[in-house]
Amino acid sequence: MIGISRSYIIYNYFKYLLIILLVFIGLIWLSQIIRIIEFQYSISNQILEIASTTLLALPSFINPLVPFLIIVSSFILNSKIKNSSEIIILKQYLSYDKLRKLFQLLIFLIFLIFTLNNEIISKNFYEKYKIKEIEIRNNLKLGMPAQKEFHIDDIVSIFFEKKIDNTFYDIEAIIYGQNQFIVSNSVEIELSKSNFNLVFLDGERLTLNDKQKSKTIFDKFTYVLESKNYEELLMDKDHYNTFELISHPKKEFRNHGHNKIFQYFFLMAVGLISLKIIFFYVNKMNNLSRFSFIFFLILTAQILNSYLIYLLENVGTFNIEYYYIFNFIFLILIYFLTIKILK
Amino acid sequence: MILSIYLIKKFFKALLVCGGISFAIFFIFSLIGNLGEKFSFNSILYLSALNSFQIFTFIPSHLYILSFCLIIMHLKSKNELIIIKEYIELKKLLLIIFPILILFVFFEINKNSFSTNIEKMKTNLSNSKNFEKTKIFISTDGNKSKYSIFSEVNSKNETINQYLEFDVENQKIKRGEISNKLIVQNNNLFSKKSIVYENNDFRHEFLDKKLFDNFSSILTTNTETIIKNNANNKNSNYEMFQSILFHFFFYFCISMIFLSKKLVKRNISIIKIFLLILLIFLYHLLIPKIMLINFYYFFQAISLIVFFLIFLKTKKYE
Repeated sequence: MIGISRSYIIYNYFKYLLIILLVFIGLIWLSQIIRIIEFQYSISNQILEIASTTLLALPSFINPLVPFLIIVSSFILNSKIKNSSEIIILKQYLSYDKLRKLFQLLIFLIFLIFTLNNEIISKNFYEKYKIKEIEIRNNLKLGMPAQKEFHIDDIVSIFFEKKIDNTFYDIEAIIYGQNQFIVSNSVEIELSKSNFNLVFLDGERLTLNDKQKSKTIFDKFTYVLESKNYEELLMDKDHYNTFELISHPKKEFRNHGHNKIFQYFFLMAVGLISLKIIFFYVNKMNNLSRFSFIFFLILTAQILNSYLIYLLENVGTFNIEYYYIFNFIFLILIYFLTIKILK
Repeated sequence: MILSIYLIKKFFKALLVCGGISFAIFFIFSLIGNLGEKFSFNSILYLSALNSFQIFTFIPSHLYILSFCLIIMHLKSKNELIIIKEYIELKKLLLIIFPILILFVFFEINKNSFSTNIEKMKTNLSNSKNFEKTKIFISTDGNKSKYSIFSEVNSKNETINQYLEFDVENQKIKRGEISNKLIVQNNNLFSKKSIVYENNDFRHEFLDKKLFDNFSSILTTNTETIIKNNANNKNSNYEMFQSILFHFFFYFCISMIFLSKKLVKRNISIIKIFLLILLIFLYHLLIPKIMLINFYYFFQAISLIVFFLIFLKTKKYE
């Protein structure tokens, strides 16, 4: 019976954690896809490409959210076992010692998964994501456009009536830097290794700028986007694991490494609090206000940690010792306050 | 009546809880990402809050679905769902949630403008000035089209650095004009000096000339870079009507699934219902994003039919 109840709690704990994780990470994923689509004047046939690429970034999105997802899933699990009165039965069967062992096992499992994701999975996926993301960003500039128009940054806007393969027909185009307006039968996109070329056929061009006022009729006019080189891969903080970050020459990266270390302690504290939440039971009492307050405390701790990182990066006198001291004092305070609320 | 008020209260409570949790999670997600920005910490917090609200504008329907999930879980755990289904038939239940449904449809219709406004607030924060590089106004009427390009526009001080205009008729450039000496007076844009191309000739004009009517109001009411003014707005009315129906049917279908008889049963397959809702949710999210050059309206009409069929199927079972 004890073994069954123990596995029952572990199963339900991870079930709700997984559901909440999928829901919120899924929402963030969808919002990222929509955001890219909305703001890049795009794209129908690239949705799948964007979706698969942003999917690679999800493991690195998960890490800062895990403590909150743990807390929310504990609220739901508590509400479930409380409403079905299972909590009373579980408390009867599981002694303090058994509960403590169960808590240790759960925290160990969460910690293990978090560490694996933080140090190995998210790092590897992020590297792949960045490479794909740059490819997409470069391709998006010439992606299949929506609403019969496409724009290459602030350089060119092209309005067309129809598109067959890589050629657009019935063109009206604005070239911003040179104050040029082009009307042509068609425009073809040529991709060379580092440039984009726009080849306009059968049209006329009006130029109105300080150096030149002219109107020309052309059979073929090639506009070369010389400065539009492909974007290059830059290494950022998510490319490194904690050890690499701590020993990085850049201060910003080292600070991020310390933040990662603190996140392990934060996760442990939240894990302990979450287990207290699961077995919290006061007869006929609505727990919403208590749980909201605990959630608010956890949120405040994460905001404070962000503020301390900000101070580390921007205030010379604020050093790493202060960062850990302030964070740990606040974390211990939150832990004991929460335990008091849940007594 | 008491039951209706109870349900509405429950919904708003669930909405508040889901909204709060979602906001907090999106906020932390944005906060961590924004920490590298060179702003004050208050600005970073503000920017993260704006980002979180923007995620709500991208996917407002998630709040409706999560809130409904929470209510149904709560009602089911206390066996209240059986009682509610016993006393109130589906039609009445749907009538109760109708105002909430309308509220969400309204939000869906306006989500793009909400998102654009938030984006503008974010840009203002990062630029610390009300400055836009370029704004283009395009008006079309049959074979004629006119492009008005305003460069380096400051909407706050109502100043503009350069005005360009190109008129096209039957795929030929008929007229062009450039002016760098511009003033905004009584809501209109005037030039003091300009160069005009017309009838294959370039000429200088040194007159005070009105270039653009209602310039200020167009700037303040349109947040997007490219503003289109088609003489024929029949399509936009159709799009609006189609969009209202599309969102209305989506929320209606979701509500019907959550309030259906199936959910009262103890041995129902939650995974089946979860997958159905997930599919409808993704369909609702992706279909408006797909832009077809041909048969666009047929495609959108099919999406309406799909929702209508889901509605009929759920209703039949009830």
